[in-house]
Amino acid sequence: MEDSEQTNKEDILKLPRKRFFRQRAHANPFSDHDLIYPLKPEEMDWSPFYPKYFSKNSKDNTKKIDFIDVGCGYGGLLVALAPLFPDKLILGMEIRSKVEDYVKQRIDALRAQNKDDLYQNISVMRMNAMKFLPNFFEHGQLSKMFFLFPDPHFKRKKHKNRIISPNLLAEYAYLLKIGGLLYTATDVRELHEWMVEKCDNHPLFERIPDEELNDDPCIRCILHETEEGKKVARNKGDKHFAVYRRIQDPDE
Amino acid sequence: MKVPYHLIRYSNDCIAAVYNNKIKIKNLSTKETIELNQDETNKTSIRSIAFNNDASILAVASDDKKLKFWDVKTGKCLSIKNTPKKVNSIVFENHGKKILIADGFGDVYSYSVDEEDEEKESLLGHVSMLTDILLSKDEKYVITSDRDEKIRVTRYPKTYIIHNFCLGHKEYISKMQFIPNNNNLLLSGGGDDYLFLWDYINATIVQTINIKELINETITKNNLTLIDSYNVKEITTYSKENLVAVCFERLPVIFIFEFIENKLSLKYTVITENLILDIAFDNQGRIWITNFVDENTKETITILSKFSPVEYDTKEELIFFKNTEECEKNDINKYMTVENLRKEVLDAKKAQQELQEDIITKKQKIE
Repeated sequence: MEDSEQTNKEDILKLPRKRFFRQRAHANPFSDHDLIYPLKPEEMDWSPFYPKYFSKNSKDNTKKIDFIDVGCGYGGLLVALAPLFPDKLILGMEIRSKVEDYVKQRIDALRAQNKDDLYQNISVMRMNAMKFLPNFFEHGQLSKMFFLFPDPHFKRKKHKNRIISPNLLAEYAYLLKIGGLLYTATDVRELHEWMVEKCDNHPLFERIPDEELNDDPCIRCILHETEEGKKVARNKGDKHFAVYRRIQDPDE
Repeated sequence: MKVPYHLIRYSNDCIAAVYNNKIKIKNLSTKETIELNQDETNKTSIRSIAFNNDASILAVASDDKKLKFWDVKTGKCLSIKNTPKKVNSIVFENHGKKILIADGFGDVYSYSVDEEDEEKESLLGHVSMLTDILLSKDEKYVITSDRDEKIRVTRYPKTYIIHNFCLGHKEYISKMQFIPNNNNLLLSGGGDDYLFLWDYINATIVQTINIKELINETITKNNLTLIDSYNVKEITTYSKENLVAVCFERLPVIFIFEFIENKLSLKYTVITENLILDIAFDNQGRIWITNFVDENTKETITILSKFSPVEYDTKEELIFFKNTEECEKNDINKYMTVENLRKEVLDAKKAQQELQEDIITKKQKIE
């Protein structure tokens, strides 16, 4: 008994290896996965995700999720942002279960290796963000949303599956605070142009000029800390990014 | 055996009943009648219809993704549009020149009635099948319901602003209806054990109605056949008396609620002779019921004129609607479509279909 507990602890301390968690890069967002989601944001129990910040069945859980990384992949951005924003809660959402498993183990190991509260502010969830974001987050709750190296869905017919689309932007605008930021990055020029066009055309978003982003530490993380970002650098590909600010409509 | 009417709608003296690809319309005050044929060549079935406010135009969407606007007086087709996906619900703007449609792929588009104005406008979208759409009387909000338990309230015409989400249903939503003489309440139902009365502007639940209990009591009391699940087929309202009627798939029952003191209370429970396909209130407070037709069915449409004790109108009004087409037998599953919105039911059917397609493609490959 003691032995197995010992090995369990050691297992948690070890960082997981990515090669055991490979999964194809595509998932159909329209098919009904057996996902678990709350009826509404008030009913979400965040304690398994952020045990340091939430206790089960407690009404005095005042913390709220601040940033989400939609399609967080292997969690590179989460891990990079954790020490930069120690007072913010950051959630990665990933639809591929094996990849989500990997990130979960990675965060568990990092938490175990760091006795202070480091990495207690990041977590991951298997979720279809295209369908269920309003079940988790309230109107104007989020201050940053990341959409990094998403599935390009090249075929015209599949454009509705793209994570940035006019219809979904309305939902992201609903969830973001006024002044909140939406980050996109991709190595596919065509997708970049498409995302920029959709965001430019959306009345609730305004692009932040790239030169104003020099001081934003998130940009460095996006370009150098995400697995996709590193892969693109290895292959000497292009990296395109765009950041948008949520602005208020006079009728809101 | 007669083919049943699967849809019925009422607006401003006009009643329209739909079977297969055909529509029969009668003006109850002028007694004028007209028959429309949506698709003469392929006879594809009609999915959804909507009158404009003065019932001068009828918008009709059929399974072939054709949307037609009909002049109700002359029977002339005003214009034909092609929709990207099948249309599940239609609503007119107040002035009657434009409609909004909600489709099976989750999108809402607007179309103008005029022929010249061919281009549709994309207004909003869910990543889920849409089941119903409403436009508030003041045209400030468009409300859409989907198969993933969600009701979304969007600003109109600035549809890029989501006003809120009404979250509370645990199953798909099939129907929504505004409460008469009230500007911020709507009733929604679907595959849930409950109907929800919403203040949709503030996204708060005003009342929940336990229909599971209601239905079970009614079944026991009246010795009706038990059903596996409850699926709301239609909600219709009568504003003069603040009545809201609700019916269910595979259940010969209509519950009639009265909206009084800011909540709905059950006023009448009507047991019908046949399984109900659709219901509509007319402006005299009568409920027109379209019946599923089997060996025992006497009428394709019955008019319920009194709810307690129950009285039926069998006046000359119905003569026009008596005849539809003849067929050998009506497949009940073809007419019970709401239950398919249940995820487990539809997914099982889809898996079956995919398996069949797989077998076919494999066969083709071998050949």
